[in-house]
Amino acid sequence: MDRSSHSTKAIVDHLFREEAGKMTAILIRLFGFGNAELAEDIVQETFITAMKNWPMKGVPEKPSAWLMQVAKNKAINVIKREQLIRKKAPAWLEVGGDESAIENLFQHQEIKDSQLNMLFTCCYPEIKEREQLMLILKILGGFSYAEIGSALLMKPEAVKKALYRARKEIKNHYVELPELSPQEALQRVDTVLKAIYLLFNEGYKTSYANKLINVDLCFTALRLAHLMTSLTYDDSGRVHALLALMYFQSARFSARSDHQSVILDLKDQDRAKWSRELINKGFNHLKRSRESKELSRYHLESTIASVHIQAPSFEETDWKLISTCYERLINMEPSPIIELNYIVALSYLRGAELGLKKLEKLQGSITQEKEYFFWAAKAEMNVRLGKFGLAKSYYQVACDLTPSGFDETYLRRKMEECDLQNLSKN
Amino acid sequence: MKKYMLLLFDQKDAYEDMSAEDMQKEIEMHMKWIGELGDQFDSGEALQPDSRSITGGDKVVTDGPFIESKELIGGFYILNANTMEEAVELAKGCPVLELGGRIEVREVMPT
Repeated sequence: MDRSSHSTKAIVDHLFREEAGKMTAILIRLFGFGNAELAEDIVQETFITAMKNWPMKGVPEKPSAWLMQVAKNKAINVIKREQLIRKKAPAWLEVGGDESAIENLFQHQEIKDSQLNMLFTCCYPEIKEREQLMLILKILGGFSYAEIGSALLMKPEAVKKALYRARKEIKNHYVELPELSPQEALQRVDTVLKAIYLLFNEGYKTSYANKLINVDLCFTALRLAHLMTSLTYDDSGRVHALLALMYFQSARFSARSDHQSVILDLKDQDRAKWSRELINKGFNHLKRSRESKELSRYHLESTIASVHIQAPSFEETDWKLISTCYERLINMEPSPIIELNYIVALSYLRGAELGLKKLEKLQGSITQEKEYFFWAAKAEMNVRLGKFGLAKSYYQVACDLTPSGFDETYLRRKMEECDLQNLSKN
Repeated sequence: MKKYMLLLFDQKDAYEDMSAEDMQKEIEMHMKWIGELGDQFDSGEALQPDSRSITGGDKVVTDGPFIESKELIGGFYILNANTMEEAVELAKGCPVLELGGRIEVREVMPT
């Protein structure tokens, strides 16, 4: 009894998820990207070994070190056994087949470097953003095909195929993991940060469903962003700004839905439920992001999030500051979606009438995939003007366009509210 | 109290597409089950998947287990129980079943 309760405690949250990414990164560095599947197999086998042994023998005192040791032994065995791989394992050749040199790869700093290197490789610019995400999830997050599929709304088979293509593409360019020079890496930092941000968003937009897998995406994004803070040659503060943004968003997780898992608007959320701890972390990173003179989109977005999170109530939100941030964002990276957000913020500052007028100009410029945001915004402004019939029909359009079941439930509830308002008006 | 051996038959490919997190959960389920067994848990060992079978006076050695299926014995537990029925009830809580595995329960012959 004692043994097991002690041991269960030792398995910290996400231990395997974290270790999977680390181990795969080191092993791919050892074997070369051409043998990525072999590296993943060794990691899988390592976990199976743990799965069989720990229940019987108890969880080892240092589970991470135990896993690393087993993975290392398995890797050495494979290399000894397979002449073929010996030829293909660049890092192994480099050290002249010296076993003790492999030890070095499993050292703390090297583990970090391997992961960063892997992260940069996954964000190879020639492959699609979505495929970058899948690679990151598979290799650095320890996600299964099925989990990736459920997170990105794809069939596991499709994930498998896409990953196969992406891997092939990278293999064509790199036999081994590239040792990117600081200049090369610096150029790719943007792509990597964007991938991390997208990863977080994928998790965030469905996190109100309280599905563990989606919270896991956010967690993985946070972990990888923290990894990026160790890049010494990037002093732009972008990483800290991104971390701040993600912490501010995470802080609102538990308040984002009601008992029936329907999304709650910012104005209906119980602000007391926002996580103080995560908000503080957010402000820490926000502060550090401002140590640099650079102003990136993440600086602006985290500032917007910080304004929301500081407001004592929705009505007391500093819409002026938020609008200004959006204006600068539009200048930096013009996009209809950012413009839409700007107009919404502006409408709280200067009225829904003006908002609607501005929206007119935006109509048709938003991609179909996100068009429902436009119609929902238009509907909401009409609600504020007391035009409930009109609002309801716009909500209906949004409802028809949204791909998400959760958004649909949310929008249907909005339509019911319009009906109620209309009734009480007459 | 008597001793009962639980032979755990795994589906060979049950772990193939399990994610890291799934595997961790699986361990936690086993630990929880063992925790609940308390003193009725005696011991257990995991087995490597690789196996050889040796047959007859000719001592023919072949690769793989005797069982002609996608299953193999992944390990065993020994539990303390008063009756076969009790042992079977306890075995029903074993998480290998959730993964599509099977359990054979045998009483250890007292000496």
